[in-house]
Amino acid sequence: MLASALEALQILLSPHHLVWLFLGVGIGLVLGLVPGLGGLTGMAVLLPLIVGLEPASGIAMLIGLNAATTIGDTFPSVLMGVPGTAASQATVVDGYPMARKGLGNVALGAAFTSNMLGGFIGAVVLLGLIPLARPIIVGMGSPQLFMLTLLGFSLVGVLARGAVGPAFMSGLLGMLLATIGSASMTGDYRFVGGIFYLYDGLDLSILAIGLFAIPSILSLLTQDQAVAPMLAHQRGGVLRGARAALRHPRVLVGNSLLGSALGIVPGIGGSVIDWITYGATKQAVRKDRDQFGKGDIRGVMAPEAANNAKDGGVLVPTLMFGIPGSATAAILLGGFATMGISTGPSMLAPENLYLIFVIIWTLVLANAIGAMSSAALAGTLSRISLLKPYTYGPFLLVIMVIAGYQAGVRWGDVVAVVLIGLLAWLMQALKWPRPPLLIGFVLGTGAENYLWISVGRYGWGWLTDPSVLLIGALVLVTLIAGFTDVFGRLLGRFTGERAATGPTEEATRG
Amino acid sequence: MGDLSVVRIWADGVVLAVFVVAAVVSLQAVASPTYWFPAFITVSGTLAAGYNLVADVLRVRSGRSLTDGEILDIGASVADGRADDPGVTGPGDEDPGVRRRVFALTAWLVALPLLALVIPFFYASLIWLVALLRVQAKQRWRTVLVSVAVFAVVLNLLIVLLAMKMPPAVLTGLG
Amino acid sequence: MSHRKTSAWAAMAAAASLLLAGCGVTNTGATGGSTDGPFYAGRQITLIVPFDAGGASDTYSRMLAGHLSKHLEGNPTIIVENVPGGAQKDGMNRFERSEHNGLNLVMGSGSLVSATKFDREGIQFDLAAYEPLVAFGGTMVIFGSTQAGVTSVESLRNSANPIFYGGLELNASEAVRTFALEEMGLANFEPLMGYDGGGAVTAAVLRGELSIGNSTSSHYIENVKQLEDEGSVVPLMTQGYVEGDEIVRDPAFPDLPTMPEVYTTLTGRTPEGIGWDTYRALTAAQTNLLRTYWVHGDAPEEARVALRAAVEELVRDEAFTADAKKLLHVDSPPQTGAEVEATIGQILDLDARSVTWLEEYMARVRA
Repeated sequence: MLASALEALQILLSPHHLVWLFLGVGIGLVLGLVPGLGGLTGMAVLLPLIVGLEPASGIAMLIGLNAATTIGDTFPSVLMGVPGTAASQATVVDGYPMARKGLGNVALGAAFTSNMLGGFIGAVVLLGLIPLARPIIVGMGSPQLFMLTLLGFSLVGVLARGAVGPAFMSGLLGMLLATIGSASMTGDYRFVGGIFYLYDGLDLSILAIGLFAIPSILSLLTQDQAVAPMLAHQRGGVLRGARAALRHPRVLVGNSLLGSALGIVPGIGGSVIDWITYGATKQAVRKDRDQFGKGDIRGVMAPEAANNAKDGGVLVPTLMFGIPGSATAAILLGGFATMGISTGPSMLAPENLYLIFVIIWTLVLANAIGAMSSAALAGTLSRISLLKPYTYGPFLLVIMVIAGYQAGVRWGDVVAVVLIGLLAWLMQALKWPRPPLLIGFVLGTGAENYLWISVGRYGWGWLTDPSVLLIGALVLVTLIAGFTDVFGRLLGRFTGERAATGPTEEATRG
Repeated sequence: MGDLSVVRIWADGVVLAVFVVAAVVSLQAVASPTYWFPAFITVSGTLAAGYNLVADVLRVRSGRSLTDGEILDIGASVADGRADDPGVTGPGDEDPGVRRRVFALTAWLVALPLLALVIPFFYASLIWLVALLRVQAKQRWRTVLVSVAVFAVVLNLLIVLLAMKMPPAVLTGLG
Repeated sequence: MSHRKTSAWAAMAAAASLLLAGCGVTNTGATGGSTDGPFYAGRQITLIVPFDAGGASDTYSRMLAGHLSKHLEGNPTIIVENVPGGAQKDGMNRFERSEHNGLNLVMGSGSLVSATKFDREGIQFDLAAYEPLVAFGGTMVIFGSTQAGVTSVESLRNSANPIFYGGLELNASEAVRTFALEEMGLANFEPLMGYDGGGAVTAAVLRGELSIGNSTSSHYIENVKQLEDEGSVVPLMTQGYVEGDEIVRDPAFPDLPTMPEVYTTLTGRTPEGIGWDTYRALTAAQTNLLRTYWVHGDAPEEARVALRAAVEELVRDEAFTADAKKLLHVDSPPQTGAEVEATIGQILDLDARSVTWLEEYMARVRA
């Protein structure tokens, strides 16, 4: 075991493999940095290139790319309030307010530290869970998966920050959008209104670009002023952020573990994992919970640690069962097939063991290289927050529309991106929370299918299964937490606390 | 931004209507499992939207604004206020330019696909950028041309390296 | 502000009119080629694959593209373009709109061929107007869960528990399998659709949530075979290949009976009637035509002749066969020329009664 671990590291560190790792990480960082583009684009492009490549090189490139996108995506999330990829939406919640206070480089430092450590922990989790993969995958039946989607959805209440009614309406709207297209249990089409574009359902990447990226850019352009007037720490801000991150070890480790655990669950994916970890962190911390959403460094760390840690978890079902845990994992599987690496239980055979270690070391190295080079760039790039939005915004709008078109290569994609972008901008102005819509959209399909299968298979008997009851209890706790938060706020409001806190809130926001 | 409360009430109504229509469609076909889950979602949604409409109307009647509460929001917002002057915060109705710019930018965003319908997207986007930067941002010609030229090179690189596809225009056949 | 705005609008209008005047710019890459020499010399072929990058069909097509180029006179470069979505119809519609000049090829699976009969919405092409060049087959394996007490084909019939059969989505191909299983007289047979991929079905079978599941033969060999070796799953039957009017066993699984064989074993009857006729036709689509490559029927004769010659060489090329086997772990029996046309004809000329029968059957399963 140790021997193959060292052998794998040695293979990977030989120059001709390392080149591919650097290439993958480099492309990944750029793709993460450009809002709208992500690992999916890069993997699809690199796929033809790996024909004839040695497995270790191919793995280094593909997995390196994938890990690096969730590092590079932090830049736009913090500096422009535009999620770099769907996996760093929650980073914006606290990262962008930090940038507005001139703390962009501090936030980036904390984020990259979390990325790196999250990636390490994810790799360790992958290593630890491979022998346990089977009981985990087999233990998660449709009833359990359904309850887990409910648990994810119930966090909407925690995330809502008071507006619970609109939050749930928004979440249900997301679920309704998810039902557009064909229903897998019957093959019938629903809510398509004869528009062929809708027969496939909406694409998640289009929804994500339209919902968050476009409104943010449009708002920046409307304000026509730099995100921050100046940087609070011209020098050493990145290091300061890194040090600050290390002061919250529990946030780091907890979210890394949670992120990798969520990665294993099929049908959740990066775009919701960041929200779940953000909500869970907000719920779990005791001190200064009010600061979340106003530029709390822990709010940056939680999703960033999780979105790199999840890669380790996603690979567990991908490698062991050929169940791709995400769209990029599906491409990875294709890449493996092209290189003649067979996935499935045979991965554990002694002659294939080194490949698992190549994957694990790649995760470690890619996260280290990606995070360090990003940290090196952070000082310079954080000055983006001092630029006038017109120097980058319009160009990003063009790229986002093109990126949306890549989703399905149909004109309808362009129309959908623009339409959703404008509607989302209106939602924002009307103070309707948008994240629940995305969460509902992602979880909706899984919730429906798992519920359908659970009822079809077990009648209603599954409701009394101990594991279902356990998750159900967690759902209840989460819901109560979400609602009592409201009650707490209402109480505060009536006791006149609001008058006292109001101005300071505004000050921290402004 | 008091009048946004009115817009929100209208939007509440629209969402409610969407849910009601979808609920009617689902309930009529509820015999088929295709519509079981949608029926559940749309009925819940109708209730949530109805609750919101009533709650919002009550709040407006009691004289409060619907749009100055705190919600989970991400990214920049038009109501962010001036970053360099914390004194001027919140609702942008002190600055009448905001609303005008909002509508102008909406029109600009719609203009991009419209232009791309006629002209191949790559060229359309460049022309759109020049027009936007010159007309809306009022940048100097030199700045506009240089930045758009640089962008054209970068975009071209992206298209070539990432094998990105561009939407076809009517002129070149929608194929 | 307002007068500046007016001037802004004026400028925008001026810019717009300018743009409209200069709208002759196009970016269609004209594909120039020499007029003498082989048709494909110095040209580039686009192969449209109506699936996501990275899937089995995509990786297979990319592998095939490399080999096909070697066999085509003039060795054109072949690039793969993924046009996923719309249950392959988007890709086919794109192919229809592309130039019919022999420089565009398309791949499609058998379910696309059946969709022209059972799921016509959104179809803007006519398969009869295309020439199928080559089709590669692959069958489906039905396997049982020992956890759920399935040990053999007989245990399916005698089971005290209901038999749950899982799949991804109820479409025409899944419907004929459901039909065949139901006809076998399985105890309390219950189809459950909505699983999120072949791996999810396998996991559900392992768990005992499903009594039986299906998987493509290549997924089976790669991911399920070892579970069979350790006794967690039992292979039961395959969907089979169609040869002439017969359903024959999959050469990769010579010991596994086909579904009609199991029907005969369990019920003592011969598979007859409109249901089994439809089964046969759709099985031909599903398995014999798993990956079919087409060219426009009105492409230049020169191009089609060159392509036909190339695929004939291709299917006999051992290097290609070895690569294909490495990718899929099973052989993918090819059909070319008249043979593949005949198979496609079986579905395109499917009896109208079969179409109504299957539609009614699916409606019954849905309810």
